[in-house]
Amino acid sequence: MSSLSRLDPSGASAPGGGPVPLLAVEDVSKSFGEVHANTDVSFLVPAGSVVALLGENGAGKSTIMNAVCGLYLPEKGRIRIDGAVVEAGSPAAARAAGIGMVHQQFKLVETLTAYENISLSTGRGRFLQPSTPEEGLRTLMAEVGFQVDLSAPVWSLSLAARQQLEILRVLAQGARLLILDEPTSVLSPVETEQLFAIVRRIAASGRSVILISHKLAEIRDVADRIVVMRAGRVVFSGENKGLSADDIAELIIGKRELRAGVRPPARRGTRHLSLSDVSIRGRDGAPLVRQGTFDVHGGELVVVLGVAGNGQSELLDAIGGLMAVSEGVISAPRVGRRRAFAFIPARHLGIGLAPGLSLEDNAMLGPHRSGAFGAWMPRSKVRAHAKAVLETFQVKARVQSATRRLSGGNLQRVVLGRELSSSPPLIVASYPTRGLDIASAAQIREALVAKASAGAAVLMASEELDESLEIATRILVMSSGRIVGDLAPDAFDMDVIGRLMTAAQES
Amino acid sequence: MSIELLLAAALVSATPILYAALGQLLIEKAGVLNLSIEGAMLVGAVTGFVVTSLSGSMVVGLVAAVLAGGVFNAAFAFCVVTLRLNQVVTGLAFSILGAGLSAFIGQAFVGKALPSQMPNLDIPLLADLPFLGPVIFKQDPLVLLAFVLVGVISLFLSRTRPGLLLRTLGESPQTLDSIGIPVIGLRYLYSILGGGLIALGGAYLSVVDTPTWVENMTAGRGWIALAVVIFASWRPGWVMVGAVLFGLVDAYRFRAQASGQAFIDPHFLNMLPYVATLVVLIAMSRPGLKARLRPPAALGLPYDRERR
Repeated sequence: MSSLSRLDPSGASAPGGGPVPLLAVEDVSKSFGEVHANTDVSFLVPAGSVVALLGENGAGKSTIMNAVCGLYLPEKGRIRIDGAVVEAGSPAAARAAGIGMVHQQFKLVETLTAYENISLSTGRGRFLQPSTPEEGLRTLMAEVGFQVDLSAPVWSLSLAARQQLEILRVLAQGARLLILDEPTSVLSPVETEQLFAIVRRIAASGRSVILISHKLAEIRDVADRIVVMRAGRVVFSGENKGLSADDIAELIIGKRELRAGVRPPARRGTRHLSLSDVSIRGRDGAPLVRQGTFDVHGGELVVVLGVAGNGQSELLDAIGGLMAVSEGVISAPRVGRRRAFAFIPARHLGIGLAPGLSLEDNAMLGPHRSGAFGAWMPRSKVRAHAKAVLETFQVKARVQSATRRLSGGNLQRVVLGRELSSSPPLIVASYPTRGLDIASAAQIREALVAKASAGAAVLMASEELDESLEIATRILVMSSGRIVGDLAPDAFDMDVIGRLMTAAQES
Repeated sequence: MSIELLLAAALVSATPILYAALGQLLIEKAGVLNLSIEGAMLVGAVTGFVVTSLSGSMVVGLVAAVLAGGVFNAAFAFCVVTLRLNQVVTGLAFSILGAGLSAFIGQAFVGKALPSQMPNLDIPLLADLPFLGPVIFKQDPLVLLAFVLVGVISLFLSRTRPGLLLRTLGESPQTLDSIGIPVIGLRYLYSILGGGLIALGGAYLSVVDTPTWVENMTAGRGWIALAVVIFASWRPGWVMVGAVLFGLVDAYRFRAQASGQAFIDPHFLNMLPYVATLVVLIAMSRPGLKARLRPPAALGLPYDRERR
């Protein structure tokens, strides 16, 4: 396997001969402050090929693609199209060179028709606006095999049709290199097949396609070449042929040492949280969570793992009451209809805390209903409570200071301090360590482990494999809204979990 | 009373509303929530009357009113587009400002009469048509122009590229920005154009319809125009329907008061435009409604490139 972890030296074209690649990324580095998002990234995209760009969250995939599109100005390196250097940091230059990107969030105007959306960027300089597409656009549609009703308003189109429309729009602007960011995340398996058929035809027309993805199984079918990134570097670039799914999963995750955990002792107490067949749909009706069934008992620390956007945050939001459940039942400690357990939402400011209120007021939100406070809240009592909340995790701030001024780590400490102040039987925390520095994250992990050791049931979501393997007594892996793995510590294995996380769902 | 005369009177009553509502439509399609409309109408009314009586020319007076409305709305646009102030609060402030400003400017002209009246059209052949002739073609030219404008704006929005850009401006300004079209500049342009039309509606009242100047003479017609735009779901054809419906109510009320007997209480009728607006707003809040009936998505939201 170690032979794969090297760069493929041959690339797409032999230096000094062979065809010039459509896109050549050469030694691109980009950092944001202290964080090196890309370090000496190099790879080639031959004309007429489909390249899959793979990697975990934060591996640097988006950064390098934004650099290719001219949205970021790299500190070092060059982007070449047909061998000619493209002006760095200029979206217009990138567009003129034939680079087009379809982002995960579509940029379509809902009330306009499909054709009008394309026309916005292609119909410059005319006065009259035709209502039917011009010859060139119809030819392009036929060539690539699009099935979009161009006269329909965008709001009436399915997500798959909108995606096709975005691709068509980028191609109509003259793009020869098409970059698709997580294109399958919104698609059903059938729609995914249709998309890949289109991608193949685009490649057959001499254009090239880069697919950014974390769904291995799907991508392997369509890609000619694979580029794998890890921690800001390209760790593999070469032919797709001859690679197994396990090879690629290992390239993506890398070899890591499993640290001996400081997990809570595995004792199962009473059941505090129980989900049966919980499904959640988004506002557009798309399934976000499918038939989630599991229990969490006292003394357990259960971590929900998954690549971002596979339903973990929606699942936890539904448990916390932020999202409605479309099917199934969640039973958790309640007093009347009120939640009687700790919930730490992923967004502290705005949901967990009111940014405009002082810390002492925020510390009261929720505990104000407990018996300690009546309708009349004497300032001295409120202040004493706020001080206690801040001291739980040693937040150094005055209780009267405005909440929005606090750093992310301190905000998380305040929310946790408040939510844990009543010794809840169940703690549900959505990404409690996300965005925190190492020391803060460790402090919060320790607090959660301590609570579980003391008998509370803890459920948390995490993006960090290492962290999860270290502290969890159980790991639930989610992919495409489904819980695809329920693992005990003796079954923790990087490769197994990595494959579960990146596996596409068979439907 | 003859139905022809009632309809003819209805079209005259509808005209100031129609100008103001079409102006409002342009501004709101650009994504600017313009609650200063009543103030801009009053500024137009007083400017039109004062300039007409000083210059003796109705045309000069009307042009001055349009310019005044443009300047008034340019100031409004400076506050809400450039400075990105809250559009509701700023709009209400400008509405009150316009009322006060017009009362101040017009105080010396209260009760005066204009030297001449706008002649009615007498288009050969068309004016002799039965029914349509007296209803449409024997009116003053500004009535006809208002209804021609409905068609022009409707075609502009649906059939031209600038119209497409205007529709996009109120829906998704960042889309225009990303293809290199100046969002701020276009919002100024349509605020000023719309302000001119709104002021023309006001000036029509003081210069052509009445013709006289009384403090606060628009008497809520700006708010009705605002309601008509919502009632019409931002579609010019339906704006015309709404304005004519209001005109009918107004004409009927006038007749009823003049004759002393009313089938329906005029005060009840006065309330109807607002009731209709509320009903439409409630209908619009339903989730399954077609997107084209919804307000422009970016209506009332200041555009700031840095905060996508």
